[in-house]
Amino acid sequence: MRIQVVGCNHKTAPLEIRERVAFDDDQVKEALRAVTAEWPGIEAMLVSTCNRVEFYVARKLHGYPRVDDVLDFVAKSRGLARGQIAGSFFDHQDMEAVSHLMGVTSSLDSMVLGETQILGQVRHALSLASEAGTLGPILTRLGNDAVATGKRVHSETELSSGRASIASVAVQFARQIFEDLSDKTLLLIGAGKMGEQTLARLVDQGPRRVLIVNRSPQRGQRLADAYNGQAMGFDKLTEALTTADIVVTSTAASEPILDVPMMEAVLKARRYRPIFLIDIAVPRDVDERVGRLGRVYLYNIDDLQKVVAETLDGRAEHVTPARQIVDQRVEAFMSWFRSRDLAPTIAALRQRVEGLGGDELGWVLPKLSGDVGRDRELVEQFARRLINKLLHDPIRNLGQVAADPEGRNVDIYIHAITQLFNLSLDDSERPDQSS
Amino acid sequence: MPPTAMHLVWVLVAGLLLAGALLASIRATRTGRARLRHVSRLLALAAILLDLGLVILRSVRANTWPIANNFDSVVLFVAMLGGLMFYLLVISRGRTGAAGRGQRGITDLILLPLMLLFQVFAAAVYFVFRRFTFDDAWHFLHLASPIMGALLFAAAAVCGVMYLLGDRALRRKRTDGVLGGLPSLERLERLIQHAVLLGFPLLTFGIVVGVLMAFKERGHGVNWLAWPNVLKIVVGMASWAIFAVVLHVRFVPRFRGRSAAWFSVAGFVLLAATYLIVQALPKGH
Repeated sequence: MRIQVVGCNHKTAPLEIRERVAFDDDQVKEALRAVTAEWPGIEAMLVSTCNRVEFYVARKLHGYPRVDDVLDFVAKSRGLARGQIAGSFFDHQDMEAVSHLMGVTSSLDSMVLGETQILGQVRHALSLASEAGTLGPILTRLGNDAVATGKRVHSETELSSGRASIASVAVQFARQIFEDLSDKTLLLIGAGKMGEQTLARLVDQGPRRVLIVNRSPQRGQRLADAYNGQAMGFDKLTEALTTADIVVTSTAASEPILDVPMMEAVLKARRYRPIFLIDIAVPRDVDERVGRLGRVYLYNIDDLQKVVAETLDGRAEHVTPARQIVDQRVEAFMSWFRSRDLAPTIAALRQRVEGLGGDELGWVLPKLSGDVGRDRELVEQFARRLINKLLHDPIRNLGQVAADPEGRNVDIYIHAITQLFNLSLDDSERPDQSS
Repeated sequence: MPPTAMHLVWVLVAGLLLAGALLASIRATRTGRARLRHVSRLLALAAILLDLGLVILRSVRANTWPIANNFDSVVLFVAMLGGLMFYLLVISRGRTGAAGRGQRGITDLILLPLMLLFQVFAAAVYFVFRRFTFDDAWHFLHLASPIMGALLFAAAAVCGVMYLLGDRALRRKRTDGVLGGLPSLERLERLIQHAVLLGFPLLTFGIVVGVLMAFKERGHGVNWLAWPNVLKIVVGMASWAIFAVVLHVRFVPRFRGRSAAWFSVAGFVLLAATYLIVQALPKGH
């Protein structure tokens, strides 16, 4: 059998291509059914996310579809010419394909190293393929092993540690100041995209109240509606600051909108409850001296970006141990996979030798004389023992060949045994270096 | 029952375990090895169990309370500090620094030296063993309530140190694991308030009962103006006053947070000083 992956990702294809070849859930199932209808007997799985589209196929060694066939299929199904996408697609086979998928689930291949979303996406791809009925024993095991590998990497290394986005870092700091955000009030000043993203992450923590202060009432109201909050005009800024515990500010103002005298008055009005100010505006919305006031924790965009950079640097240190886990898992999977490849050869070899033994017994048994019953038993036992002893070492050695994860000699062995013992294997199982 | 040489060895073994736990914790912090951190906590747990076992064994044999003498009360105090350490570890479990460098074990690094200090003190007390007078329930209350109060003030002080470290790390925008090992500032502030709220009445009660008993015993030769007694009363009242301030800062918002944390640390230091003075000085009569 052969495992192959044909696909594109954020490293090989620009966004314009990835957008055009992406599949939604229904299209994934449809494509999987179509590909298995066109090439019956294969196993197929399609991983389609915003950063990658990857077609995994397990087929017979000599079988189809080959890489070009998959490319043609993807191009055709997306209404594109093959030439438009061919340059952006990569392909891997067998061990490289397995290693690739396990690297993907471990997020070693992700745009943001160590992100964990991909694990769920591969699991979802497996479930779609299962629903489409295009999974078989090989891709099921590969998919499950890949997911297990990803989990192991995330739990045994610090590849996913820390926060890798401005918004998640802000949430993390908020949780160092406040125990629980469910009784806190969030305030967004300005309605820029970055501010909204940060607000969205904070809203995920379930705050008691969300306030939006914006110069444009319509945009403020739209955001307030989206986040179940309350829109306020800029004239209510001081009032909002008195109430809020966490403030995200991202206005386009050219001068700071929160200065020391204003914040001193606000602190007094709020009875010196702690306040967390997240200033992601450039130029800054909050005078940096505000951060020196007691009970005020001020973070600007540089502070947060520094944490993101440190997180990613920190994660990079854990790539090697993560890769070691992936390599171990690839090796284990390939041993199993190779043993599947060798199984028909071993079965045929045993059948062939036992057949020869049977023929020879058929020749010798009628010629026995004397205590025929006892001699017959002895001769049969002799034949059986001889066959077992003759086959013991070859079969054990074939097992060792299968254990080689790169499977360097498997094809040679299969070819040699098939030829030497004149075995009749299914043609598709015969080795062929060119396939 | 005076402690035997075997009891001293018992305390020293627990002390060695605590020293090992502290060393392992320091090493774990430096190397980031989680296994060393587990080893450290196992050693600390073993020391706590040894201390508890000793106190229970001695009090059962003597058929009295585990605070009936200075030796047992100090050993019990170490075990209770250990309980506090594991409680703080549980409530800060799963918290990592923003850059995700893992926990720095800050709780261990604060509490283990404190436990070790008191463990060494327990061994020293062996040589100045003093049985407390347990003539009536008032004597018991005079001793038991300040011990419980002291534990709560120790908790407040530990939380105060943690608050100050966390606040400092947040203000300096530190992203390593210091913050990871700490509960949130809000929770620490609440713990300080609760510990003082419970500990203050206990300390007050102990002091009032002590004063009343001293008045009662005046006729038995207590010299109020003897300098050891004056020192004991002055330092004790100073720590009482500090905790009174900590208790009331909740009503003065400007002094919440860092100020309350500093006060809780200073109050405990003074309280510990009072205890040491009481133990070290000759009786004032």
